[in-house]
Amino acid sequence: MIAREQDTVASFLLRTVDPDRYRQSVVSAQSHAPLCMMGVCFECLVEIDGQKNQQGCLVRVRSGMRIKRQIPEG
Amino acid sequence: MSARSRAGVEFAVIGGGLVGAAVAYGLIRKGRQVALLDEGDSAFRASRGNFGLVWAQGKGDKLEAYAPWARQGAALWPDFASELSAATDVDVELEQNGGFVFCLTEETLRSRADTMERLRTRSGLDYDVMTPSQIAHYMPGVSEHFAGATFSREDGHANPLKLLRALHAAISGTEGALRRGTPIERIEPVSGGYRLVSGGTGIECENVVLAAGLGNVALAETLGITLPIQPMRGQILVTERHERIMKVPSENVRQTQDGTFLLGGSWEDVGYDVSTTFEVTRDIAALAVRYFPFLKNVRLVRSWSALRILAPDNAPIYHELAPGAFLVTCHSGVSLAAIHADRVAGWLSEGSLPAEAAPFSLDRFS
Amino acid sequence: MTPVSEPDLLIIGGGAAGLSAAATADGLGLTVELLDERSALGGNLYAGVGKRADDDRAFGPDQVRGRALLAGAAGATRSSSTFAWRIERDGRTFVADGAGGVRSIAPRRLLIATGAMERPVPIPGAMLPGVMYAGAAQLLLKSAASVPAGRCVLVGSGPLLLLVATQLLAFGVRPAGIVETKPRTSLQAFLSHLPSALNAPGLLARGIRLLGKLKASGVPFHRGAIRASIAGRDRVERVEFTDAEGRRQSIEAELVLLHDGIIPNDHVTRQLGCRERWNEAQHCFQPETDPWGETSLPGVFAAGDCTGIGGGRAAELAGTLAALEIARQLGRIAEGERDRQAERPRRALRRQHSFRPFLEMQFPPSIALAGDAASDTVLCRCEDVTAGEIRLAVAQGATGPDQLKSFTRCGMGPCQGRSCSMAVAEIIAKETGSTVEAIGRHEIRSPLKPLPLGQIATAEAEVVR
Repeated sequence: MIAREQDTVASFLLRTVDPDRYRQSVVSAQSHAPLCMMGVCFECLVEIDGQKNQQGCLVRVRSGMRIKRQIPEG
Repeated sequence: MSARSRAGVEFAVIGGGLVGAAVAYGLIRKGRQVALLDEGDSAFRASRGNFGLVWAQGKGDKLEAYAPWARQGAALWPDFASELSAATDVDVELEQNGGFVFCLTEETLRSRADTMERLRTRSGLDYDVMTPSQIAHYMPGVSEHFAGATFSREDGHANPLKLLRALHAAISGTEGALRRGTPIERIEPVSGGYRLVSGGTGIECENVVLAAGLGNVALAETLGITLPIQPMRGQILVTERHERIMKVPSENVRQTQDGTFLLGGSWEDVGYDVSTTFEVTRDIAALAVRYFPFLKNVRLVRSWSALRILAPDNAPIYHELAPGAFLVTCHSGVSLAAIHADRVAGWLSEGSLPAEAAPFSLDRFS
Repeated sequence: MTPVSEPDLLIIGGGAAGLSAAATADGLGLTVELLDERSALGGNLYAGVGKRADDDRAFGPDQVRGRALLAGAAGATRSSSTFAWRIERDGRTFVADGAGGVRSIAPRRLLIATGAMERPVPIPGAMLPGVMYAGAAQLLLKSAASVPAGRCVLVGSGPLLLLVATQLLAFGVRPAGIVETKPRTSLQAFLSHLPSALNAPGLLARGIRLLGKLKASGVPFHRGAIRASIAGRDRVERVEFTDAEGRRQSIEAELVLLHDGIIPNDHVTRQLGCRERWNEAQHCFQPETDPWGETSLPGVFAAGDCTGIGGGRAAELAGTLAALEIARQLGRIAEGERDRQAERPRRALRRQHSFRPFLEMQFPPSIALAGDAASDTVLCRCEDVTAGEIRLAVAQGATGPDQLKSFTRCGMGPCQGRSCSMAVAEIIAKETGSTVEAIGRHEIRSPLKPLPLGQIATAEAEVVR
């Protein structure tokens, strides 16, 4: 999986994983996926370099970055 | 106009916050006809800023009678919570598994323990002094680098927002009992009761309960009485949800059943200013991270400030200001909710305050 | 202590308004700092202009304009991936960056230029993965030159819906259908708004060309649809709607692009407590500003779509005007000079604004109106609160937005109510026989966006117990 030059974490994941595997809501346990891509909806939350709940649409993909989708294991 | 409405309601309770709602709920359960007059969204509404502790430890330091009263208040909570939940389907998230007051230094811990010892002789409330490693059993993730805490088994917490909702839901089950958007400007004695002036209209009642928090100051003034209560600002931070790890609350940090952490503890004498400040936000965050280092990675979502309603001795005031006009005010709207709905509503329902209420009257300040 | 900078002007938002204000202010000798939370400047309209490999297939003229704006603002100190998490009413601003740093800025003047956001659309099924706003797809095209794969259906109303359809076509993505929920406009309304629209013939012509392109493409175009909903188990499977003839229809879909217009992204001005007013024509709240963009808070300005939707060109002009007045307030230019320099942009702004009533008449909100939302429709995406739960809380006495929030947690999640506050107001208004304007929205609390406690609790912070 190769990121493009202006890929954010959210745009990269949208191209590389199914939308229902983007993240799981901690409230409803339902699958959620990015909605607005402009920093408003907080549907694109993702763990980046150990920091949970970052807005994936606002963070540019960098080499060496560790991206973890917030889906419970198993 | 019917005869009924001319005579007015039996009890008008001014103030739809936790104090007024608990008293109104209790009066309704005792078969009284009640109108709870709620100012609405623009009210200061200390209830919405309540930290949510159901707390006895430390209460009654300056007023002896408050120590056993607070302890009884906590003891009445389980029945109160289950009645409310049965009546409204709202779970107020009561947990009474104990609670901590943290002390950074050995010196503050010693002085805290002295206070608790003094209070034990007043109310019988037992306590332990614990080291950080003992605290970790109840609150995993706690730092090892502070002196320790006092712990009381009888303390706990509830969700103040759910509590307010449950009380409003229960009260609104009685037709006409909950009246939103009804700010009261003044109280006028009329024959057989009082007339409460709201906008251009008046609400007549046989008895009136002043439970409007800081709003009581202006209301009591219309009866010619000056109240010795003052606002004391507290700021609270709330984080995003986190896996539930804390079994009990502390005075500075507690985890709700939703998983959010509430952080608080500021005492600011700034009048009626309800803004939040950077400095206090930072200090609360820093203290919370100092006690629980893992919180550094947890996100702050919201902060707010609310005004505590403090008497000079931090204790509640129950007083009959004029025949049939009662004042009920306190800073501990959650801790005392059960006893307000039970005992205090019982006194009011009987129409007078008993000897048991005497230590809490205004007379103690004169 | 955290380092403090003291620029003449701090601009929050690096879109059309912010960039043009930065250029004007810098040209007049002001020291300017500009922050944007995104990883690249340009805002929505000029997203992706900074990238090296230019892709002008769909965005040619905009890309050129955006690059010019970016170059013009080069004199300002610009920080992307940086957001203001707290702003005081005196302009003191606390800033966090993606690297975990915090600092504060004490500007002499503050300009808020946070642009527009999609009008939240709470229809049944809008929570399903595979649903995005049309604006999101457009941003993906602009910055990453991609959209999620799969059969795509556009649903809703507004010029952007149709524009995105043509842009998808230009990228070789053929939508499986457009379900337009715009109510039919009466001929009378159309004719009464037409003369003002003719003041901006370029915009009108652009709209006509757009519709022509769509027609020529042969993409199924269902006009006058009502009761649109999205269905699927774990993700989008189909779009359902009632067509203009009253037949229930179903279209298979894997990607649904929703749109029902855009509204001001006014979170910052709300938190600051800037006085706002209800814009009936655009069905949204917006901060009150004077003709130069100054809000009810002296020294705090707002410009562009965050003050009411006017479009990118209007935002640019408003940014310029705000910068001129700020320069005058700070003694850089005299009043006469300000007025002289403002003459042309103000004339151009009037031309831009003259087209709006026509658009507003053509595209009133449709599927975003939540007053009658079905009980199980989710309004608060973060806390999973449904329309039915909101109605129950209203019945239990929560007839104001703040009480409602505390009763239901609706608006307490990470988005802090950005997605649900209008829908909540619609429902309270409907249930209590009031209006959205009278009900208003819940109070905005600090921080402006969630950030880690460790970032706030800087190591040097003095702790008092």
